[in-house]
Amino acid sequence: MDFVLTDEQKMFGESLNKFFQSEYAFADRQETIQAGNGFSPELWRSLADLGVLALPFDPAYGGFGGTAVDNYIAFEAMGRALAAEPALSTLVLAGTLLNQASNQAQKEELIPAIVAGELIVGVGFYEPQGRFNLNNCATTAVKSQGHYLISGTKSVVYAADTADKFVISARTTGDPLHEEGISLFFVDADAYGLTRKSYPTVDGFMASELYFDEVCVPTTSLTGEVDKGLPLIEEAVDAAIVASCAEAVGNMSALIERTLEHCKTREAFGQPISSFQVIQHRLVDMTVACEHAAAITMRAAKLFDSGENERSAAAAAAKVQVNKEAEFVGPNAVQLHGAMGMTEELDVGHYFKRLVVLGSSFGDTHYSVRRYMNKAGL
Amino acid sequence: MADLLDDLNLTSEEQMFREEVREFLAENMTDELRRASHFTMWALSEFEYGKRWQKILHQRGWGAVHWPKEYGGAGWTRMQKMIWHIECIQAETPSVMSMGRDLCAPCIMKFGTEEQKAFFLPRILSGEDWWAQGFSEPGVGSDLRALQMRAESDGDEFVLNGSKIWTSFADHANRIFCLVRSGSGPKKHDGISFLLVDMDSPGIEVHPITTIAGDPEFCQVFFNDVRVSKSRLLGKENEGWDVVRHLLAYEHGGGGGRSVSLFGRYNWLREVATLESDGAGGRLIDDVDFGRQLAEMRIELEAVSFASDELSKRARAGEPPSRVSELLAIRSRLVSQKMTELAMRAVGRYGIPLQQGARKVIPEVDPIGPEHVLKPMPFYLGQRAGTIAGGTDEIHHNNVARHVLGL
Ligand SMILES: Cc1cc2nc3c(=O)[nH]c(=O)nc-3n(C[C@H](O)[C@H](O)[C@H](O)COP(=O)(O)OP(=O)(O)OC[C@H]3O[C@@H](n4cnc5c(N)ncnc54)[C@H](O)[C@@H]3O)c2cc1C
Ligand SMILES: Cc1cc2nc3c(=O)[nH]c(=O)nc-3n(C[C@H](O)[C@H](O)[C@H](O)COP(=O)(O)OP(=O)(O)OC[C@H]3O[C@@H](n4cnc5c(N)ncnc54)[C@H](O)[C@@H]3O)c2cc1C
Repeated sequence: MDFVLTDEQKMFGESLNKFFQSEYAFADRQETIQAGNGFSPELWRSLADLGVLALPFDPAYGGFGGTAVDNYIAFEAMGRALAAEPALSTLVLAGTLLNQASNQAQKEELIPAIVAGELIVGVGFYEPQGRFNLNNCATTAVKSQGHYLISGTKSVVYAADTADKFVISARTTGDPLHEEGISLFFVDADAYGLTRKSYPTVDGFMASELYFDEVCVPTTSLTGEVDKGLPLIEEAVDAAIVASCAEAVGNMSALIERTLEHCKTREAFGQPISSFQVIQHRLVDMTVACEHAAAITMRAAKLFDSGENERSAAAAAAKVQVNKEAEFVGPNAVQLHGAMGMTEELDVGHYFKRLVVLGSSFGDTHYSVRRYMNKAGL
Repeated sequence: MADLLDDLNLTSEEQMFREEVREFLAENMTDELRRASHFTMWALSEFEYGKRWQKILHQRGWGAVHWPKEYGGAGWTRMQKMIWHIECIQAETPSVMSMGRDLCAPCIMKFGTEEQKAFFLPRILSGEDWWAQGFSEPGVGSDLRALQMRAESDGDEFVLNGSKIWTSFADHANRIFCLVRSGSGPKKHDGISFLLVDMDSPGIEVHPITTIAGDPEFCQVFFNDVRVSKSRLLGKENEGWDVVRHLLAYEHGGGGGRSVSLFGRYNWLREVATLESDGAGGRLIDDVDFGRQLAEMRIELEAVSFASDELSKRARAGEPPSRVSELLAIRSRLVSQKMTELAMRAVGRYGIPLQQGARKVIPEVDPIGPEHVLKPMPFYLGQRAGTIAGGTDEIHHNNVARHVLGL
C-alpha cells in the first residue's frame, strides 16, 4: 500500500530495499549466524554509511532527526531483508532514551559513536519473573558514596554478547511492582560484577541473561530523573513496538512474495498450485492481512508524537493487530510451501520464526490488549 | 486423564488389565525414556530411545499390540487397546519409529508372500528392522501418483534411479519401502510398484535435512543404479497403487487414539501455565484471559474426543479406518496445533532462546530459564508439520469434499 510519504521518505525506503537486495543475501545471513557473531559488522558499517544508524538522533549530535515514520521505513526494509542486526536495541530502545532522557554529556559521548557504527548498546528492561511487565523490576540500584550498586537479573537481552554498553532499568525505591521508583543506568559491558550468559535465539540473533552482582556505577551513569524511569521506558518500548511491527510487515511482505512465486511455479496434479482456488483465496487473505498490519502500524507511527496515552494506545493497537495478522501469514506461508516450508534450508521458515518471536516481544497479544484498554481509557 | 478412564466404566477384568499395564510401565519406564517422549517435537522420539523402548515392549510380547495375534499382536479387545494407549500417554512412553510397524506391516500382511511375511514381520516386532517411508519426491508430494523415481526391469531385478525426500528418520532405517515407476498405463497410478528395499544397497545415499524446530527429522535419499530383487515387490508389478490405498487408509485414519493424545497435550499445556508466572507475582493459570482460552480449548477437545470415540466404537476390528475419520481429523489436527500455539505464547520471552542442547535426552547445556520453557517453542514449530505430513490439510479437505460430501 502507498502511504502518504514525502518524496525523501520514499527514496530512502527504495534505496534501502535496493541495498539489501544487492548486498544481503540469505546465504550470507545464515553464514553470519553460524559463525556465532550475532550480527554482521560489515552490514552494520554499511548501515552507518547509508545513514540508518543516524536516523533517529538529534542533528546536533550527528543524527538525522528522523521520526517514527522514518523508523517505520527503515525497519520495514530490514524486515523484508530479514536483517539480523542489533538495530532495535541500539537505535530504537537505547536511541529513544538517549534522545528523551540523557544529559548533554551522555549524548555527546554516545550518539556520535552509535552513528559511526562504533557502539552497540544492549537494553535490559525485562526480568525473568516479570513477563512483559516493565514495572516488574526487582533489580536494585543502591546509592552509596557517589555511586550506585546494581544487583539483579535481566532476561533475554538482545545483542548483549556484542554490546559495548547496556542501558538497564533498576529500582532505586519502592517494591518490585511499583510504577514509581525505577531509574535508568548506563553500564559498561565489562563492568566488574556483571556476567552474561549468551545464547543464540530462535530467530537467528544472539541474546543473553545478564547477572548483576553489586555492579558499581558512578552516579553520572544515571540517565533521566531518578525514580522516574518508567514513562521513559514506556516511550522507548512504544518506539520499539512501532519499529518491530514495521519489521513484521516487512517480514510478511517478503513471505507473501516468496509464497506467491512458489505457488506459481510448484506443480501438483498437472498444474501450478496457484490455479487452485483455495490457494488463491489464501494468498489474497495473506495479502489483506499484511496490508492491515501495515496500516495499523503506520497509524501508530504517525500518532507517535501526539501525547503519551494516544501514543501508547496506538502502539498497543498495532501490536495486537500485527500479532493477529502475523499468526495468519506466517503459518500459511509455511503451509503453502509444504514440507519445504518446514526446513531450515529455506528462508521462509526463518521469516516465520522471526514473526513468531516478534509476537512474544514487547508484549504478547493478551498483554497488549490490556494495555490498549488501559491507555485508550476503555 | 485419570477421569478419561473412569468414564469408560471398566469391568473388573479390565481393571486388572489396567493394573498389569501400569505395573509394566512403572517397572520399565525410566526418566530418560520419559524425557525422550517429552521432547518429541514432531512424531518420533530420539531414535535410540524409541529403539530401546521397542526392545522392552517386544520382550513383554507387546511389540505391536494392534497386529493380529497370528503375527505376534497382543490379541487385545478394543477396550484393552484403549487402556494401553491412555496409560502409555500418561506414562509418557517414547514414540517409536513407526513406519514399519504401523504402515508397512499391515501392507505386508495383506499383500505379502508367505516368505515376505515370515521374514519381515518378526524383524519389525523385535526392533531388528527399522523402515523408512519412501513416497514423496522433490517434485512430487500431494500428487503422489505423479511420482518419477524409475525402476527399470533387468531380468529378475529392478534398477532404481531417482530420489525420495522428506523421508523421516531414513538415516536410522535399515530398510525403506519405496514407490517407483516401473511401467505405464492409461491411468497415472498404473505402472507404480511397491518395493521393499535394503538401505545398505550399493548406490543409496542419505542426506539428513533439518526442520525449523532444529531437528534432523527427515532426509533426502538418493538412488543411483540401485539393484533390487523382484522378490522384494510387495503386491504385483505395476500394481503397487493397490498397496498404497491400503496404507493411506491407515496413515490418514488414526481413529480414536488421537483424542487421547490430545488430552495428554492439554494436560501438558495446563502444567506449563501452572508453572509460568503472570508477570505480576501470580501464576499464568490464574489469569482470567488465559483461563478463558484454556477453557475454550478444553471444550473444543471434548467435542473432538467425543466425536472420535463414537466413531471408533462403531468401527469393526481389522477394518481400515472410515472416511469420516478423515473429516474429524481435520479438526483434531487444528486443535492440536492450537494447543502448541497457546503453550508457546504461555512461556512468553523464554520461548526465544534456542535451546537444542538443553532439550537433548542427555542435556548438553543447562537450560536458559526454567525447565518448562524448553519445549513449547520448538514443539510449536515442529507441529506445523501436522497439517503437511501425511497429507496436507488442503488435500484432506479435497478428499472429504469428494468422498464424504460427494462433490
Ligand atoms: C441485500 C442485497 C441487495 C442487492 N442489490 C442488488 C442490486 O441493487 N442490483 C443487482 O443487480 N443485484 C443486487 N443484489 C444481488 C447481488 O448482486 C447478487 O446476490 C450477487 O451478485 C450474487 O449472486 P447470487 O445471489 O446469484 O449468488 P450466486 O452467484 O449464485 O453465488 C452463490 C454462492 O456461490 C459463490 N460463488 C459463485 N461463483 C463463484 C466462484 N467463481 N468462485 C467461488 N465462489 C463462487 C458465491 O460467492 C456465493 O457464495 C443484491 C443482493 C442482496 C443480498
Ligand atoms: C515432518 C515431515 C515428515 C515427513 N515424512 C515423510 C516420510 O517419511 N515419507 C514420505 O514419503 N514423505 C514424508 N513427508 C512428506 C509429506 O508426505 C509431504 O510433505 C506431503 O505429502 C505434501 O507434499 P509437498 O510437501 O510436496 O507439498 P505440495 O504437494 O507441493 O503442496 C504445496 C501446497 O499446495 C497445496 N496443494 C497441493 N495440491 C493441492 C490441491 N489439489 N488443492 C489444494 N491445495 C493443494 C498443499 O496443500 C500445500 O499447501 C514428510 C513431511 C513432513 C513435513
